[in-house]
Amino acid sequence: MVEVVLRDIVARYNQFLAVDSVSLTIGSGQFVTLLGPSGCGKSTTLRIIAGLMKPTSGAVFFAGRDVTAANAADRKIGMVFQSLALFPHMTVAENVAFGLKMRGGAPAAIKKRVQRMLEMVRLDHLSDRYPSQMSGGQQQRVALARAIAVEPSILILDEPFGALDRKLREAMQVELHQLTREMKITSLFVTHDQEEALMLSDAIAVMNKGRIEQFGTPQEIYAAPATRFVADFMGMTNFLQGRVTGRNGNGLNISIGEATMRTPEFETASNGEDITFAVRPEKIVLAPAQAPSQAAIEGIIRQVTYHGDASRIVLALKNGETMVALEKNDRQSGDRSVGSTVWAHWAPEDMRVFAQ
Amino acid sequence: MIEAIQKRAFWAWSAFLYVFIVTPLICVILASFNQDSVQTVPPLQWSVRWYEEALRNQNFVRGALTSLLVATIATVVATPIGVLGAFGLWKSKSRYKAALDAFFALPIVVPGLVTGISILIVLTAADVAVGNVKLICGHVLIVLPYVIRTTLASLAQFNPSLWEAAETLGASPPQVLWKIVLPIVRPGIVAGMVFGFILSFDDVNISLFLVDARTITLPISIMSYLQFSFDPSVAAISTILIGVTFVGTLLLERLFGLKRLFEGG
Repeated sequence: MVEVVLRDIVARYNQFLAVDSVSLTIGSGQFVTLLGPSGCGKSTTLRIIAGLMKPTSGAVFFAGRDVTAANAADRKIGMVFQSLALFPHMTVAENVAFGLKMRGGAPAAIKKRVQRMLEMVRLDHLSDRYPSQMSGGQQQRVALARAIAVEPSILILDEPFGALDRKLREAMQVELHQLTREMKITSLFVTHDQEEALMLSDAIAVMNKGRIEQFGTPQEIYAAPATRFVADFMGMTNFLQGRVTGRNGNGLNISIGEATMRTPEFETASNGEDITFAVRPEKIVLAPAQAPSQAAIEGIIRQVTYHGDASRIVLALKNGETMVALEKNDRQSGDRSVGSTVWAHWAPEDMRVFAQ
Repeated sequence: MIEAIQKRAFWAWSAFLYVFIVTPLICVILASFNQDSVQTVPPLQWSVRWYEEALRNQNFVRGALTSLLVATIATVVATPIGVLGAFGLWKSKSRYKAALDAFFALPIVVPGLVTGISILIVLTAADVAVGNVKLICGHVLIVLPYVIRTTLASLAQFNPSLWEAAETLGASPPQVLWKIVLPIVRPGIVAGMVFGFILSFDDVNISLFLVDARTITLPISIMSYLQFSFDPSVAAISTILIGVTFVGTLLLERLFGLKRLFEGG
């Protein structure tokens, strides 16, 4: 279990800048996730940490030691691949033993370790099966056991749950969370699924266009996205434009068409300047009339879709923008038919303001 | 309606192809059981005397042994060369990769006669006089391109993550090749060996220039026999070959799943 540090990593494929000076510290025993859309450079960053690719410039440190020039084989990592990459011609036990054999352990010790690993992922009764004879979830656990068996400096997981159905994915997430915390393994997880990232991580690095947009705890990333991109990616998907009309304590007074409202704390904005703010759809409350002390704006219902516990309601605002509200079905009051007029309310604290 | 016609046309065409392929084989088998020394189909009188005749013919027996020996040695020599060549091509990042790939297929494309004559000229210049050595040199060239082809086809389907997984687990490149890649592409290699072996055993074109009086292969001894006599012993030896091939194919199917082999699994 070691601390892994990336310093100014740059990766360039011909003209394409895949990773643009990324620096990152993964504390010993920490579970860090690289989160971002496909093509954001997260997989390239992961491959550089694994040693499967050399960066164009920058350095990688394992426990303070510069390993930038070291091959994957010499880094003592455990990696779970997107395709799992189980060896199809080997049994489960042989798969798990492979890394130990390559590192030259004594046969008796290897056998014992393999047995323990398989017990840990509850597959000790299937050790003689071949991967093709197992279910997706079982294969996943074999891949995990194989990666952890070598007591890696860092466990690297490349979107391992992408191919699983929802239920199995959730079960595997819980299992991985428990396993990595119990064994205190330094882990790097890569995904494009923000829920997964929030649930598993001690810290998340949100990546976009080869850069880290924000690095922080799941709570920070979720509640206080630092950039428009992070806000959007973390589900804060209502973006509205307003004009600053004055200061109000630490926050601002802004106007959107006829509506005026107060924002939470925001430093740099002067009168007459345009700003953008974001609100989560689930923070919006709909009511037939305007309520005081809340930010409120009037709109006409354009579309209603049913989502089981909630309904997704699209509003057309007077200034031509649209707003989406996700409303719990048991909290609904009033008319929700298309064409009716409602007031959308939210608390000022639920807004995130971004300069333009 | 149209679908029904299409279906019938398809079946008719398939049936025609089967008949086209199988009829000659059946005729040979029938002809081999003639009593008479003239090949009639079906035989007027049945007997197995031409099998005795064929097996008593020293040219056939020695030819068969030579062919077996040459095909076996050629396969054993060509396989490691071909497999290593395919690995090299597969891992190569050279811009001549495609050209090299095509280059290794040349022995398939160049007419066997030309290959035979070329080898004869080169080996004569090099003063190689032993018939077997000449033959084996020629036959290695028959087997080699097939082993390279089928191995490359298997490698093309190899999941590159397996290589990386082995690497992250501490395996060196030679270890990855030996412990991961080789076992997984083995069916492709075996397919190439089988192909090559059969074509080598069967070859006339190249061998024609490389045999001498003491080393003569079965196909060539059959050919020279036919120049002077057209009795059913040739049909008998052909039927034995059909039988051996059939049993061999069946065994391979049992051992490796031949269908999978030729799909490049």
